[in-house]
Formats: sequence, structure tokens, C-alpha cells
Amino acid sequence: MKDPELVLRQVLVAEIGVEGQERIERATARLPCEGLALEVAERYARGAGFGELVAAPKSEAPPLDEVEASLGSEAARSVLRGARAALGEVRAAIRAR
Amino acid sequence: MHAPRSGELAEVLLVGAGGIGAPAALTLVEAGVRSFVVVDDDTVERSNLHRQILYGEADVGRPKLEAFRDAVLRRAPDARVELVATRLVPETAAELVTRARVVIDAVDNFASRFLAADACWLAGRAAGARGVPVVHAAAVRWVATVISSSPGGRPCYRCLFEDLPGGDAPDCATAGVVGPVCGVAGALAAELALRILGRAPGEPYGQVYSYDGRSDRLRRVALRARKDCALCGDEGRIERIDEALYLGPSCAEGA
Repeated sequence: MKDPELVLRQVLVAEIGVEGQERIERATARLPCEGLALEVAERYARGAGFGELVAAPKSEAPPLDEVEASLGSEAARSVLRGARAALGEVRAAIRAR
Repeated sequence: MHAPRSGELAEVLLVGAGGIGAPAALTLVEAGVRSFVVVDDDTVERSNLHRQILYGEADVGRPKLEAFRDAVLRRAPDARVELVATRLVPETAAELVTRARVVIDAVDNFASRFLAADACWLAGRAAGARGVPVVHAAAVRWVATVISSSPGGRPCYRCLFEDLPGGDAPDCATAGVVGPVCGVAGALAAELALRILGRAPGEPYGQVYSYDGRSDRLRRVALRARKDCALCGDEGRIERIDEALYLGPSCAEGA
């Protein structure tokens, strides 16, 4: 791991661990967001320790689910979307072989 | 001027400026909220940075409150931010929660979470008093949970979680958290606070939001009031802030 102190709490999560963290650090996070959502996604992806970040076309983003679509605040939807985008890349990275 | 004017209610009292408080504040500022009271007594550590997205390397070692204020003012120079360098404790909780129109509980331990719930509900019990709505947000491992309670409860946090958990609750020092899960919790907490403030459409009360980051499943479930709730039930037993109610595992839903 490049920076064990930075990812201390993340490595404690059983499904990630040291092996998963090393996969994250070898991976590129593709973040299909823009504006505030992209800012949030990039911040979380950097914190997770991805080797590289790439802004992907928004068309690659999953559709809004019912609960996300029901949020009345555009800011809340953006922060939620950015966090979920980063999480999606964490999931993909730790499952990669 | 960087604090709410004397005698003026802030819009939001944020208890905890960490993993959930940071994205909640970011959301609120982006939505136009400009008046905060913030309660925290920690300093920024490097191990915070993977999830506490308001802070950067230059903030490590600084009081979290100062880093929080600076981050908010960079985004919104007209914001007013009052800093309260303490933890939420029984001696001061009752007064603190009355300083804002809505409280966001973004703490990292069950004792403070139950204390926030009780203090907000009890604030409305005195004759002529104004109750305080509260939004509770938690994140541990892959899971985020957010609920809100009106000033009158029914339902309230204790309708769902009754009392402090026993010794087998996840420990924040050992369970860990995936950083963006805190972002989900913070965004949802801010959404409910914005609804309470009338800044976003939608019903703010009576539902539990839960998110599982392993499946990316976000759910909203109706929360029913319990008649026998110790806080807001027909014969509620909690009538004052009693320190003995908040003894127990001090560290549980780490963020």
C-alpha cells in the first residue's frame, strides 16, 4: 500500500483489506459525472487511493433510481451521485482479478 | 462576520464536522444555507482525509472546526459559522440544540446520538418552548442510515433504536468505513434538513433511508412511531437529560 495511514479506515473493511486496497491502487477510476458530482466523486476516489482518475461521459452513469430521483435538492442529488460513482469504482476494483 | 448574529437562530446546528458532517455541509452550502453552528472537538488527522472531503493535507493537525470554517467560507464567503469546540455532552446539550432551526447529528458514537435525540425532543417539552427537529445520520463499513424526527417525535430515533446497543455493536476503531458511504449519508442528511427548512420539496419525516454500498441499493422505508417509545411514546419515561442514560459503548457507528 502506498499510504497506509490515509486509507486506514478503508482497509479495515473486510471486503477490502490489504489485497483489495492494492487492487484499488492499481486501478483507474472512471467517473461519469460532471459539476459538483464530479468534484465529490474525484475527492472520494482520490481518498480511496485510486492510481488514476478519468472523467467519463455522463452517458455511462447508471440511471437514477426511485429514491435518488425523489430528492428535492439538486445539491443533494449531485453529492449523492458523486459518492455513488466513487463507490461503484471501489466495488469494481476490489472484484477485479 | 463569521458567526450567526447574537440572538439569531442559525439554520443548521451540525454536531460533528467529520465524515458525514463534511459532505452534509458541502450539500447545504451548495443549496444556499449560509448560517451554521458547528460542534466538534477533534483535530484533522491524515486517516480522516479519505472520507472527510472538506479537508486536505494542509489541514492535518489543525482543529477540525477551523478547517471546517475555512472550507465553508471558501465556497460561500457570506456564510456565518459559529464554532463550538466541545463534544455534545449532557451538561450543555439542551442549550446547544436550541441554537438552530434544525440539528444534524453527524456524530461517531451512539451515546451522543441518543443524547441529540433526547435533547431535541425535550427542548419542546417546557411550556411555550420550541421543539427542535433533528436528522440522524450514520455510516459504518458499507452501510449508511439516515432518519429524521420532528420536534414532537412520533416517530423519533428511539422508536427505531430504543436504547444504546450492548457490547457487540460495531466498533468505529475496528469496523472501518468506505469513504463514499459517508458521502451518501451526508447528502441524505442534508436533503432532509433542507426539507425541514423549506428549502427543498418533500416530506421530511417518518422514513428511514438506508444504503448498502455493496449492492448500491438505496431504500426508503416508512418508520412507525412506537406507543411504548421511552421518549415520544404515550407514557414516555425520559423527562430530562440524565447522564446515566448515555453510558455505554462510546464508539460504534464510525464515520
